[in-house]
Amino acid sequence: MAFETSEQPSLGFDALYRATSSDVFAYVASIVGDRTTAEDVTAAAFERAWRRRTSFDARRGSRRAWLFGIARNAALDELRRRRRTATLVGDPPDAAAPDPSAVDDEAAARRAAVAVALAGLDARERDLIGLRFHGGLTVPEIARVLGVSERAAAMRVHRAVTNLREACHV
Amino acid sequence: MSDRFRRSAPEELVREQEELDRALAGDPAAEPQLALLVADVHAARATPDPAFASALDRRVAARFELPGAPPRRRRAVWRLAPAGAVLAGLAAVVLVAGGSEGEGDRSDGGRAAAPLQTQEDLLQRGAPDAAGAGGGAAPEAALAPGALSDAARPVPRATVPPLQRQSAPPARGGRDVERAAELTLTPPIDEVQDVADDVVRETQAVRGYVQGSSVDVRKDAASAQFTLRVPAARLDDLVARLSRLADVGALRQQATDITATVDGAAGRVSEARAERRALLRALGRATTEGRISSLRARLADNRRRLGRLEAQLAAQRRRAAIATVQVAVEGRAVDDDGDEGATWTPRDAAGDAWRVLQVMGGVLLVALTVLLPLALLGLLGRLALRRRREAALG
Repeated sequence: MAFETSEQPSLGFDALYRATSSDVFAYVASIVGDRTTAEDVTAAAFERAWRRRTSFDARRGSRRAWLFGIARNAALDELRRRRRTATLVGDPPDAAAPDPSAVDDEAAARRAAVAVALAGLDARERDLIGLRFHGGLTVPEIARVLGVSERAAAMRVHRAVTNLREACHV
Repeated sequence: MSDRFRRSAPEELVREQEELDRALAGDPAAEPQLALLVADVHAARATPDPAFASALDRRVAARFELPGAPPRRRRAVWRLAPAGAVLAGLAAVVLVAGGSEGEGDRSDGGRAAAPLQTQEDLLQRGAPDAAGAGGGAAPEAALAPGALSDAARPVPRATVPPLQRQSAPPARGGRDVERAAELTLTPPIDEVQDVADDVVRETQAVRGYVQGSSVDVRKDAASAQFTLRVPAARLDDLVARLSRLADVGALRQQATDITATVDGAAGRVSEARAERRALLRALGRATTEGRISSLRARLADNRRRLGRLEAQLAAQRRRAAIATVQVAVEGRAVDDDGDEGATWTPRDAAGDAWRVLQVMGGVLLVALTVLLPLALLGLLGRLALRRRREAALG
């Protein structure tokens, strides 16, 4: 199945962009760790998706999963590049960010605790959480993105969610 | 969640993922703690800066083309890849089909339509024959086995080699060589008469003559035989001319060194002449009637012997000067569509089908031989890239 309808060739991509841009940014940011790089990678991911839009095959998964696969590869490429140059560092800690222990509001404290828990997760687990929570991908879609079996993908997601819940004391 | 996953994964794992799906979808029936976690993760996630978001909106609207920059060309090489693959496949088909044609020709045997003998085939087949030529004969250039009686294995005109280069080596250093050739032509039946006429015409053109001929033309069969005599020096020329008249079914050339025979005959003639001169001198000196009668009788005997020996010498020299060419013209049946053989039988069809399958199998084999390693390399490369990418998360 083609990515775009023949009647309105670009509408499919535009709709996908509108529906996923903030999710893709959040996911990429959770992998690369800083906003500036996340912006570059997000833009690069959408550009790659646009260039390769003809390669989308609906039989192999949803458009969303296809896009997050591209975004993931772009983010990992960026990590590899960063590792080679070893010059980039993550954003400095946000001084305005509330300290979970010092926040009075329960909801705000919970969110701060989740942010800290996410930051403390293993990079692979953060990747899985991003795909599942930010991307909204199902287990079979995650399996396809990771190139593993559905069972293995489910186990990894299970471990990541369990670790996140333990870290958040949920 | 796929059915396969539901069937194979532990029930608890399936249930947990379904619960997470519900929480992510905002289902009120989802587990409260999980729904809360989903909401908190969502709230804690990074959000794009509005400036970045609007800039990206503009880039998307512009389809990632820089303002003023020429439209980026897509990689034409990838678009040409299918065409390249098709071309490569066709080339493989042509190569394999060509190779298979050659193989099939050698194994096909009887059918007249398929076989196409090459020069090398002919030479190889002729080699044992030539080696078997015995005695003091000069090397025999036999180009086809079975000579003239062999059932037609026609050689297309295009494959007939320049015969001057194949023929037996000419006599050198004043040696006398007797040369002969046997040639089988296989024109279509309705062209046998014309070819026979041409044989005569070409023979006369090289100052030769037809020593004997027999032409038999009927409705469904036609053949002709010729015995040609031609100056030995023009033998190659004649064979080349005759070969152009029709497909050559077989060609056999022979050269025999008869220098010793000619020299022997010449020596005997010289001896007889010397004897004659001696007898004449003796006759001039003879004084008695008895002696004169005796010498005259011997001279008469010498004259007869000398005449006989000179005739033998001339005959031997004629063997070297005049070559003999045996030509057989055998008409072959031709279908309306140009195929040889009378009809296209089910057996022929089965044979053709088998050959088509062989060609297809060959094509498949070649394609697999080429594509499998490439596919394997591609797979390995992809796996390596994936591993390197995944390592970035480590």
